[in-house]
Amino acid sequence: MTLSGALLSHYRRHPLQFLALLLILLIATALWSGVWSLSQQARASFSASDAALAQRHVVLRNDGVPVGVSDFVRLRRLGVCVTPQLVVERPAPQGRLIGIDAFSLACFAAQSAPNARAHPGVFVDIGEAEAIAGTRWPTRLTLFIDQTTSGLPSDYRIEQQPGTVATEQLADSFLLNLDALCALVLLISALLVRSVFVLGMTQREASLVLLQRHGVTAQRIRWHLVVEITLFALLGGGLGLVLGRVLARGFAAGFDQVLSGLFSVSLYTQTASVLSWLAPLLMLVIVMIWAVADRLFEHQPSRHKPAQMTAAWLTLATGVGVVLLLPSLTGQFAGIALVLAGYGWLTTLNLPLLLERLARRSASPLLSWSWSEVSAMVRQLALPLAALQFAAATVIAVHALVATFESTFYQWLDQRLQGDVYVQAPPALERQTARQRLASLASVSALHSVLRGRAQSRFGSLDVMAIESASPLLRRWEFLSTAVPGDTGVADASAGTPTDGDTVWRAVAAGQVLINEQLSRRHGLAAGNAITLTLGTTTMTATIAAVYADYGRPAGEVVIDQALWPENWPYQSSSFAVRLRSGGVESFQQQLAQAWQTSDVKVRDNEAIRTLAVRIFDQTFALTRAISTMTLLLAGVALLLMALTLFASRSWYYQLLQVWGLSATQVRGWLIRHGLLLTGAIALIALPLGVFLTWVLVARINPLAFGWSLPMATYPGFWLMIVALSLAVGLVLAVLLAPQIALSPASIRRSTEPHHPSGTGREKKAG
Amino acid sequence: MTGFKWHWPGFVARIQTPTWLVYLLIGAVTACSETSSLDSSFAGLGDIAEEGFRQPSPRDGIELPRDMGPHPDYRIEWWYLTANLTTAEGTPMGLQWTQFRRGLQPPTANDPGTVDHHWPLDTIWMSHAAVSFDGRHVFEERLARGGIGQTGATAEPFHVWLDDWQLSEGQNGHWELSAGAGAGDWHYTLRIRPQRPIVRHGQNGFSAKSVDGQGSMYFSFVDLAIDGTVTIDGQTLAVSGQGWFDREWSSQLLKAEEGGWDWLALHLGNGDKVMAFRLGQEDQPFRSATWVAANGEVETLSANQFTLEPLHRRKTSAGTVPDQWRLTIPSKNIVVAVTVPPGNYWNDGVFPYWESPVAVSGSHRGTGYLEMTGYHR
Repeated sequence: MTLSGALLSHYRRHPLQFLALLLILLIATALWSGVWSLSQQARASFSASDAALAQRHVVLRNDGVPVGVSDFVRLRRLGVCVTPQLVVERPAPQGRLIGIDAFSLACFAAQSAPNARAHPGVFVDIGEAEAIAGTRWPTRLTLFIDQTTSGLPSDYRIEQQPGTVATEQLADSFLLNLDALCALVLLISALLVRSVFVLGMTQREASLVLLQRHGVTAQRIRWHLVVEITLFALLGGGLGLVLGRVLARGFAAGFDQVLSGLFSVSLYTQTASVLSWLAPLLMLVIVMIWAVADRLFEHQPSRHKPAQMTAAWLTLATGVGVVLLLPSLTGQFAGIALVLAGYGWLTTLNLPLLLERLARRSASPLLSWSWSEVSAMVRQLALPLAALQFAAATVIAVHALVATFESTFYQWLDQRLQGDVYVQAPPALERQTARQRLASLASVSALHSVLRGRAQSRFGSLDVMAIESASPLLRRWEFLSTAVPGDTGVADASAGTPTDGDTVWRAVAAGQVLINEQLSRRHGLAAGNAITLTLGTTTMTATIAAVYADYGRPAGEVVIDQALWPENWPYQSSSFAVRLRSGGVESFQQQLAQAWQTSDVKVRDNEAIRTLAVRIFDQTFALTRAISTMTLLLAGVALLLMALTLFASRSWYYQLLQVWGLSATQVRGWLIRHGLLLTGAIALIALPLGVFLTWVLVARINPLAFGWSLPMATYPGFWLMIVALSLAVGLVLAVLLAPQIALSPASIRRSTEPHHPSGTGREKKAG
Repeated sequence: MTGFKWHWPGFVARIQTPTWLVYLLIGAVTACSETSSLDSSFAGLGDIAEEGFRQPSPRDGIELPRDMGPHPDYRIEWWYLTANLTTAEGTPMGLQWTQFRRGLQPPTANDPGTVDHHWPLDTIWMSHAAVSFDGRHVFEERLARGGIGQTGATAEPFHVWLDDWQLSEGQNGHWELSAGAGAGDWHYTLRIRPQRPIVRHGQNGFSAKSVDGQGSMYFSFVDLAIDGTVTIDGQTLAVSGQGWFDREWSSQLLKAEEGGWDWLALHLGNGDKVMAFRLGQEDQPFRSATWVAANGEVETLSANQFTLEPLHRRKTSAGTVPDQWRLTIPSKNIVVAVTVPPGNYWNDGVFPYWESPVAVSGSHRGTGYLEMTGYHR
């Protein structure tokens, strides 16, 4: 028999181990490479449309009349680089149709041409789009302009394409999320592979020693083992990659909806290049070899408990220190890794010690045996248990983050989407006249005017939003912190009640200002501080009354009362939030078009926007949840597989209980108790880790990455669920193990004779 | 004349496919010059050509100013100017401007005219501008749909335009031409004065393009006096020289796919002008030529009255092209070599072709222009 044959014969004797290793590799690779492939595609899609999104500028007529064919022709005849786009909003299932004029695109720089991928919809020639729309569906003509062209006549102006919210930061957060999950799945896979491999090594120690006695050098054996684990990684990983592609394809539709809805980016599937297959596979092989490296090159793991304990505590403490002190994203991730490692290590070191102490204190021999049995299980299953623990902690943290973000985001949506509709003021009409005419409409119950501009400050230029602080439409705003006496902000459960909001708005009416969280964090500004702003030629200093949350906006923003808006300072945009008394949005739009004497009335239905936003976020979070839950499942399945493999060495003790006279049912009862204790304890120990991870995510990573934080919240209901899930894993474990302890009367007799189960410490000492 | 225009409809046929639109949207314009798709589109043209468009015939005749304007009843046509100019320092400069019209469907009686929300796609127009100077060749292409005013042509006053490029009739019957690649890049403004009446090619202006009688309506201003300014490489140069202007229209798109097209128009030193072309396969091309004497006498030359053979070929980035030709017209004692100056003269647009100024030597000296298609790889 060749050396390879001799080494591989181990798996012939332990086929379950072979399958377990392969299955773990397969599932882990599928999950990890699936998520990785999606995030790569998303990244490529983002960068493909980045330039296009950044450069989308449109031409508008200064007289407020919508642009038409004649405007396009006039500008082209003047040599201005414009191209039309006709959007036809067809109801489902046909959906949006986009008409373009391919002939006029050539003058756009390749990267700034309005990009097909940046807009979801079906593309046809603009003439065809117009014919299809006819009079059946509303159309919207937009003239895109290459901003670098000059010679625009004075009766036109260029504006950034409305609706292109600064989404890059949200996109970054989204991708970061995915990357972190990828890394976690990879880490958990590595732990699991290591545990299976270490088990195999222990079982094979005797045969390896035998091989050495036959003259095979340790070097050769090691080399063969490296080849073996590489082959495993390639085989399991290869199959896993294929499965991962299938998984990614399954997720892609939902993922695409998220991207297009949230970021106006379409996911496009890249053709799978050789590299895109090789890269994850190579990574997997490296991680696998790393996972088993110490067992390959160091014959005996360190048994020095006190030293290990000190090292584990040091790792944990360093991790916590890094998280607390290092203000960088890389530092935070490194810190988390250290905390995970230290915490997992301490668990596997201390849990058996605790159980043994319990065993020593138990008066009943059965109970004493029971504690020490669980302690032995914990020692043997240390790595898969740590993996389960990490997975559970991550699921808890991700859930808390998502749930907090969801509720905060909805609150924020409510405060921003004031009223029922939102109307852009007509450029041709004087603002006060437009306001008066709008207010006089029978269908308007309340309205609130908003002006926007850019002010200068010593922090650079800031967005300024001027509001009417007396408006009832602002009552729902909530604040992160306030400096107004009697108003404790959102941390107080009563925050958001009219009294609190009123106090802040009264302060704003009196000349104080509000700033967004980004500005507050970036420059250390707090409520109660003063801020100096230059609005055009007017410079003013005002007290900050409160700080408000402002998700997704990269820039700093200041909210002032409209009374502070200098007379001669032109605004960038003017709009109205309107609460409707009666009638639909359509009739309101008609009335308004009449009152403002323009057909170009842009009305946004806030309820529709809210519904859309909520739907999009639900999808986003559904994906995150699905991935973290699948990680938990992976860890659970791996634990089951490992326990099944390992239990061969423990079943003898359970069989012994029957020999001693316990009934099979009683023994099964003990087995179930042990299973539940094992996984239940792991889940409970994972809870503090989960809470810590949640805190790092919301209070450390988010502000560092995006400039805004989320309130810290915990969800004990969800913890219960995780504990219940872990208990379920323990139960399944016991049920699966039960057949191994069933005994026939004959075997009971045999079992009373001395027995040496394989893979225990005793055998090693004998070898 | 000239093969590129015959190929053009092939490209246009693909314009209507959405895939093409998307290609253009994502900037993959070059992907559209694959000849395979051209061939396939040509295959169907014979059938379409009969649908509703008029066929040219010797009976049509040519009439001015009417025929300076567009012919929507015919499928394709072009206005085409080449100029051999020199700068104040005497450096030669070649210059080209061409505008094409391609009808996708014949005009209907109830044309709604220009409406402010209407984007018809009945005709496509394409305009090309190029300057060859000092070994450099620059080229720019514009495309637009007809029927909305962005592009078009009128006979009276004579005016052909696309975006801000235009050829129009100015004072005293002079033409003015301006085109280029936009602000900051190269562009030209020229004043053009026709020196002689038009020359009708072929039979009363009907120029045969194959032995089985297919052809186009074709006339030329063979002698144009040109002056103006050309801005290139950051310097504005005063230029002057002579030019050649073609008008041609047809509905038949014949066996052009079978081989290359070679067309040249020459200004000989003695005041004679020659237009010659060959198209179709290398071994048996269809050939025709027009000889115009300095005194205005015109003679159409059939294949057995002249020879046109490549003498030398040049390797370029996009294929090997003949860069020297021998032209002989025994009856006129013309035996000349027509040579392309050093350089690369591909007009690298949606459909690439070769367009270069040439120098004439041998029995006669002179200048001219050479256009070749079917060589681009």
